[in-house]
Amino acid sequence: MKKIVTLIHTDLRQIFRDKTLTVFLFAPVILIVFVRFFVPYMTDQYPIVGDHHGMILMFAGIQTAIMFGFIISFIILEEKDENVLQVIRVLPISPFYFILYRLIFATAFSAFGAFLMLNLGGIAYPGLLNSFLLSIQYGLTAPFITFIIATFAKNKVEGMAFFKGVDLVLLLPMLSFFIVGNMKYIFSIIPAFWTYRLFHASINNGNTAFYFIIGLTIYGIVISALFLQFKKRIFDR
Amino acid sequence: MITVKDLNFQYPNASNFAIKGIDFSIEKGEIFGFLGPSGSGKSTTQKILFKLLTGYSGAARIDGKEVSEWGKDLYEKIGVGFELPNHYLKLTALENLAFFKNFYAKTQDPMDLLDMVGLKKDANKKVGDFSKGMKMRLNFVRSFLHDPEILFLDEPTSGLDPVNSKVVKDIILDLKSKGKTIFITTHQMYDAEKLCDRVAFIVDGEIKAMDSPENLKIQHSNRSVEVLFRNSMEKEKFELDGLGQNKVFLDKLQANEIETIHSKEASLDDIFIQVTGKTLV
Repeated sequence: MKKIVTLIHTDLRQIFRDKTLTVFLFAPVILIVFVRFFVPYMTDQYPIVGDHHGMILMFAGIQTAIMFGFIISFIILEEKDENVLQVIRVLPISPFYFILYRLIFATAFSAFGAFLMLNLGGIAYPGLLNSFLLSIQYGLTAPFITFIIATFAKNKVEGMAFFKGVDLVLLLPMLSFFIVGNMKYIFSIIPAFWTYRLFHASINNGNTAFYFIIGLTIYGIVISALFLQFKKRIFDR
Repeated sequence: MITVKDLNFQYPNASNFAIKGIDFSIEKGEIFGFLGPSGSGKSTTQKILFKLLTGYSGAARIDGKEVSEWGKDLYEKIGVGFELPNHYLKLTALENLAFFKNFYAKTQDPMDLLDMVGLKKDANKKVGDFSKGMKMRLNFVRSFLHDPEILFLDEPTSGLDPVNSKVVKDIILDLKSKGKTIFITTHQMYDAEKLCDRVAFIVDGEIKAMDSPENLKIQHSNRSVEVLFRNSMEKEKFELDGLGQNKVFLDKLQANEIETIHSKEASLDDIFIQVTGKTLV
């Protein structure tokens, strides 16, 4: 427990001493306020916006969730840049303890942020139970983005580019709502596809259990594959 | 304390072995130095011993137990000082030490450690604002934060000015006097000579010579003295054996014509070049 407290304390110190990370930490709050107040205002001005409230909330949910993944990936990237990972490897605890704690931390915060967005956004409501299910899947985008950035980006500048790229990849499955027929499943290997489908089913009384289970399985497979890459490229070098 | 027998190691995708069948042992309370140029296999050997590299063949034992069989408890027993600084730059020096302190069972007071290397006044300064020398001193004290029995130090005086280099060397000798076993890699021959009980010359993954600095010097020295004469300012070499009966030397000495006398003992640098045919770059 003492070790976890130490890790949380140190990570928070690092976040608050970095302007970019601090902005990312509070970005979900800004997003929630934006969705809650600005989107209804826009809808009053341009009623056509009202037809897309579901899509806007889907988008806002994923943006809220990935912020914590970005923060954690940048902390790991900095440890990689400064060779601190080498020191962590010669500590009397497993380096995976560091990674696991951070992934749980990022997933929990991402899920919590997404839950607040779904419940406070006010422009579409998937229901309380479905909000929980959706938050779990939104939360899993954090380890997804963390592993991609921390494994493949060589430094923080590359990390920022990767973040934008992964963000775009996570948004791509939204296009599936504009595709008729089975072609939409071309996006199904991207885990967020199933989160959007789950969201869509939630607000349209669809089969949420189906999308939740399939989505969870896809997230599990993709995150496991990314973890193996991370282990191979970062810790087994 | 440390035993290495017929150790071989090849990096993945490399065509040559980085370590080629080396043997050595280090006794408790000994300071052992690995001397060699960059890429000779010094750091690789250390990394095998503290388990950052796996997949070696031969034996690499600490306290009689193969390093591959040690669990995480190995890191309570050993301390590692890396060649390059590796700290959380956004944290202060004190915060860095306090952070790592929490992962060990037994630790020393971080402030005392910072004081030892002249960093007490900078304890609350962010490490990102430190010079390389300050970061290296922080690296050094972090390596024995948990009072380990064995210390691996990779180029411990690298990037340090002469004053701080002496501070670090004095601390290493103090740790030895407390019974710590210390394995140093360096290409600073002077440091090796001052610190090490024994040194090994390693080139291209092979140990070319291993003994105490004194023995190496005796074995490879030219037993002669070089004399500078006062009036002519000319130098002449005399064999050490039979010097007391050398008439030319004795005449010059009695006539008070000698300005200086230097024994021509070899330096570790000279011996390294003699033995390995390489320079320490």
